[in-house]
Amino acid sequence: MIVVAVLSLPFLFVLARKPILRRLALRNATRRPRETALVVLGSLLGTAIMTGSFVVGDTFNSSIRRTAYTQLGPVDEIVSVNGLSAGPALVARVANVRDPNVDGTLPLVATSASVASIPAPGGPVRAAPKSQLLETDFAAARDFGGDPHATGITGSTPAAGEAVIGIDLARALRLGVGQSIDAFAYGATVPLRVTRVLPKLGVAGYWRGDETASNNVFVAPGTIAGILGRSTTRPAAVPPQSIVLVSNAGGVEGGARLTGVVNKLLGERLGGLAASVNDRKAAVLDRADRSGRSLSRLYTSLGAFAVLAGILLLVNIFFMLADERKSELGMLRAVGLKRASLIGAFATEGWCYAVLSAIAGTFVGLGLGRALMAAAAKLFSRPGDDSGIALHFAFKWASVQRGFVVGFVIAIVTVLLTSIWLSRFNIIQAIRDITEPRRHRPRRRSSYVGLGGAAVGLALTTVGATSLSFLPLMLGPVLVFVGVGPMLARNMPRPVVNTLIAAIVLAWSVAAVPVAIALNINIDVLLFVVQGLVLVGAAVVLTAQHQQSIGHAVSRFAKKSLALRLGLAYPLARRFRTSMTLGMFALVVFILVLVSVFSAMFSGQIGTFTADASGGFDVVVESNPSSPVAFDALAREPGVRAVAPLVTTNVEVVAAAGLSRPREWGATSFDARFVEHGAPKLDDAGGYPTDAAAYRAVLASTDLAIIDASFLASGGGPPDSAIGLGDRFTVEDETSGARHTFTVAAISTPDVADNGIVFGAAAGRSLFGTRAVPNRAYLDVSHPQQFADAFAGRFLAHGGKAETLRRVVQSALSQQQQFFLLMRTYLALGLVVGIAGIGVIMVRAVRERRRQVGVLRALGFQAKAVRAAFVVESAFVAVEGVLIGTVLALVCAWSITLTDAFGSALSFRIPFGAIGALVLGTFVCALLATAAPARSASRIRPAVALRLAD
Amino acid sequence: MTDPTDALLVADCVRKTYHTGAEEVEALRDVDLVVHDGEFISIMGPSGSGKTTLLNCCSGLDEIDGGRVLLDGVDLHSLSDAKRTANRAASMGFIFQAYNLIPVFSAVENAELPLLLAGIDAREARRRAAETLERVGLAGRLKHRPAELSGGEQQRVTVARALAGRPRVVWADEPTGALDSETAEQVMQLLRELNGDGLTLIVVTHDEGVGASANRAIKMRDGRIVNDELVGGAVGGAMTSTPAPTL
Ligand SMILES: Nc1ncnc2c1ncn2[C@@H]1O[C@H](COP(=O)(O)OP(=O)(O)OP(=O)(O)O)[C@@H](O)[C@H]1O
Ligand SMILES: [Mg+2]
Repeated sequence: MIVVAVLSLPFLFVLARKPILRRLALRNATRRPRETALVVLGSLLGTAIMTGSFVVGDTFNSSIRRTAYTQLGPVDEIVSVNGLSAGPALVARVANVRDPNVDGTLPLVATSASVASIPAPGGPVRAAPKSQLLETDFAAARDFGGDPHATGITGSTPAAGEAVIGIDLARALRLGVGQSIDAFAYGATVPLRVTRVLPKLGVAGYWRGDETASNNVFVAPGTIAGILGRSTTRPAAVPPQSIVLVSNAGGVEGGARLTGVVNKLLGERLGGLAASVNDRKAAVLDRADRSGRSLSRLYTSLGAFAVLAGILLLVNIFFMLADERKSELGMLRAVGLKRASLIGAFATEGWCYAVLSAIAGTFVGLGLGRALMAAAAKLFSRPGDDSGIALHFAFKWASVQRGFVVGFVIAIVTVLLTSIWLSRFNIIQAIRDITEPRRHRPRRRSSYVGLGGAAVGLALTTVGATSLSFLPLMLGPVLVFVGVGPMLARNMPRPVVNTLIAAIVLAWSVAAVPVAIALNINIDVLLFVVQGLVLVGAAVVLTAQHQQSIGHAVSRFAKKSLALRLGLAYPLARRFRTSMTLGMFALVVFILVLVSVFSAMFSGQIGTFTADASGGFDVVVESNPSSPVAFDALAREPGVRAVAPLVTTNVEVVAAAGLSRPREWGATSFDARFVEHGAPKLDDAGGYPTDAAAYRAVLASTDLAIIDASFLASGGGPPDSAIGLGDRFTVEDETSGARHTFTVAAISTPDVADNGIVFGAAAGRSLFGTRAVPNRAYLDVSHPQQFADAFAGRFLAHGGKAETLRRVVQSALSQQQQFFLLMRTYLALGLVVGIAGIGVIMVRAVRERRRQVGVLRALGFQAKAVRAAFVVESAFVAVEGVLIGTVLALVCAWSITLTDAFGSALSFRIPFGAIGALVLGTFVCALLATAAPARSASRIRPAVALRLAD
Repeated sequence: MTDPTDALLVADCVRKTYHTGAEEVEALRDVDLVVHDGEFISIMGPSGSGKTTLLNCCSGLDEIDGGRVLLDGVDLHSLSDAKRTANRAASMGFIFQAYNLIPVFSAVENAELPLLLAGIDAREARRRAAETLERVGLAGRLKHRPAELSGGEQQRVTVARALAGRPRVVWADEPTGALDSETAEQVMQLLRELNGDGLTLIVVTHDEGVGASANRAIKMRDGRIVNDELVGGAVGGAMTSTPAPTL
């Protein structure tokens, strides 16, 4: 905001103290309200896109934050021990804590369970394999944390045989009060009657895992102990947990600030008791911030293309304005106004547009973010899948403000630079569109300046190559090539030099990304922005240089058509403006095609992916850890060729290079059967000769582990810390607090089955102790789909769940595809800029040429020929721009597949359908945007137009 | 009144009223005019008297509110816009005050426009346009854009453009208005020559000198023709409709 004020000062000064300039600026801005509206429309898009990007981040942030309310509420820390017997000791030490930073504690007993509805005769059984049974005192729960509403708890503690269930479970099982359910745990079945349904809020929604559904069943205290008493399962099953929930002073979000202090306090209280303290709330809020930020960043980076296109549009509009004002400018100069004053008035007018468009753009951006998130919410929420995020539109005023400021600054800087540029150029020359440079040989001075630039470029290149950072590496050589231009031009014809340099820059920018990847330079979205910009810039220069020949080639095709000739004449003659428009189109099409190609390349991988992720297996089964399926028995069933039991759970990654705070991550331990039958393929087997050798080494050791490339990544962004081969990291078991440090032995192919960190059974036992009971398994069966379909029903009491690996891969890929789709939708906004832009440009072109149209009509030019000429004009520019963008994007994508940045399985493919639709759509829309101005041009009445002052 | 049947153009009771908001301007009040082949007519009169309006209405560039305009016996204003446009392309040429060239076309490209509009083969059109430009003294400027030509040169390109299509009638609205007297005289000399070759010329002008080179002078005032007389050596069959005052 301060920036806005500072930048506005000179203009406010002009408005306040320079009456002539003020009148000039304001009159011009208000003279034709419809055109002013167009100008504002053209320039608001940048602001809109920025604001939209920020709002996307806010929405994700706040949607994740919501879990802090729905699944935690007053709960800030979770202190837990394994087993019921340790419960009293835990409660004794923690529950009665009196401290100003803690405003309550709540003892709780929890065990995971599988729950099924008891069907009416003939009706289907519905099961929720991932559920939990909870025991707590409802009166205490309501008082917990000081705000009863935030706990979600109402009524009295359930009596024996009663169940108070959460709304998520009620929905999943489609049942309500009065109906009956069976809960399965530790081999026992407990029939329960639902007496109340609680909202998903606070303690009632208490859930510790990453799942979005809180499938909670509150039961009478003692129920879990009763189940254990009757248990038929081996004692090694994952035990129930005794828990004390701790609420920090302060509200739901405010409390998390005290986590550090309270953690320390709890640590002291616990003394030697082997309990785990989990600061879940802080972790959720942290995750919210992180994903919000990373998405904002992704979207602003991608949005940069649209913003850049918007800037080009703005420059274009400003040149047109200046052009229109030429006689006015000349007249005022003649009257004695200083050039600086004129530019001042002109810039002040621009400032008015900038303010207006920034305000309007902010609002449009809000709407944009809202629409985008509505689309995203549909994509993310799929029935039967509780792993996604439930998106709720939200934004912070700070973000809106930021969008406004960024948009305003972009607009005003563009305006200022354009104004200054206009003042430096010979106005007459610029306005008359005299394309031939007056001076063919550049001055010696400019060749020195160029050489200086080249030297800087050389230095940058060196810096980039030695420090392995992309920006200098990419831009350095570009500067070198461009810098030698003026010197070359002293001895060679300018067009040749321009062509040469543009071609070299083009080639270099295509090559730069593969080179960067080969040098192992971190890939960032920013990279594509810079690359796209340089590429498009060079391509546009190249095209502009040869525009005449292109035009002649085109018009040779249709020699007879005068409309075609006229339509081409304008873009060919106004090279500068045409280049701006070309650049605008090329930029947005470039990134859209690039993302489309990547999307297609990834989706084309399903076969390879499935093979990689499956190894020798084809089904993955899961069961509730409280009563795991007897996998050994499963192995003896007919049709089952192999079973590899796994222990999968979440751990807390507490230490790793670049990790700022603990992150929860999946972890899986395997035994020899996994390796023997063919474990998932590795991307990098470390130093080991084969994948199997790597897996065996991990199995044999207790401190080697395998991770995949997205380890510690969040929200689709790059990983927080780049952990690779040989790096060490430490994890902590969430329930026992036991720690273990691993060294990365190999990198696996993308972990679509959510195995997380993969290590051997021995390491698993040392980390999880008795809890190392297999709850998951990879299977090789003769009829995978049938087996998977029947599994849940057969193992209802074990919370059985099965999926073919093919399906797992498919759904992971489809999520990725949806992510791409969302990105493309967003990027398509850039197209809106392009299309609106060409509309604006054509409207102004019509206005500018009314007199000329009048002359043509008087000469006998038919109305429809006039219309055709305008359509040809915009079609020509649109086709060129789209072609440039498409070709560049294809070349880039192809060059990236030459490296194995995204795995060697990625092969180049062109999604002809998608690109065809894109190209055609853009083209048609551009024509539609031209239709109205072209029609109004054809309706210009010659007698009226001829009277217009030129 | 001469017998209108063999006339090139007959304007009959032409009325034109402009509406701007509540105001009405009667720019033409029942104007009658007969133009014969080969005439060189000058239209003079004070500013705002309706000269340009008359030109626009008689050439079919503008709609009229009453009366009719016959070109070769065809009622111009009963034709569709497309037909009228085609008619202009086929038989009329226009010269306006100044700056009415297409800025993105070179001199020769501007001059060949009417030829191309008439459907003449591109190469032939180029040849003839170049020829016409040579005739107006611009042989060395064929490839120049309007912005690279002087005012007089631009106007000569316009003349060339008006002539290249070999129209039957050329309408000129203050063709010398933006030129210095010497250049103006060159342009007028050119027009006189062309008229000598049989071209019909109707020129709106403030310049007495220009008026003097015509063979029929029309004076307008307040939307009416107040004087119409033969001057100099009358070539066509026009006659004065009002007694000529002193010359
Ligand atoms: N589009 C218009 N709307 C309203 N009034 C108009 C319009 N065009 C011309 N007029 C009015 O019609 C009258 C005749 O205008 P016209 O242009 O024919 O005059 P003129 O004789 O050509 O004048 P000048 O010698 O100054 O060019 C004038 O009073 C003018 O104000
Ligand atoms: Mg006039």
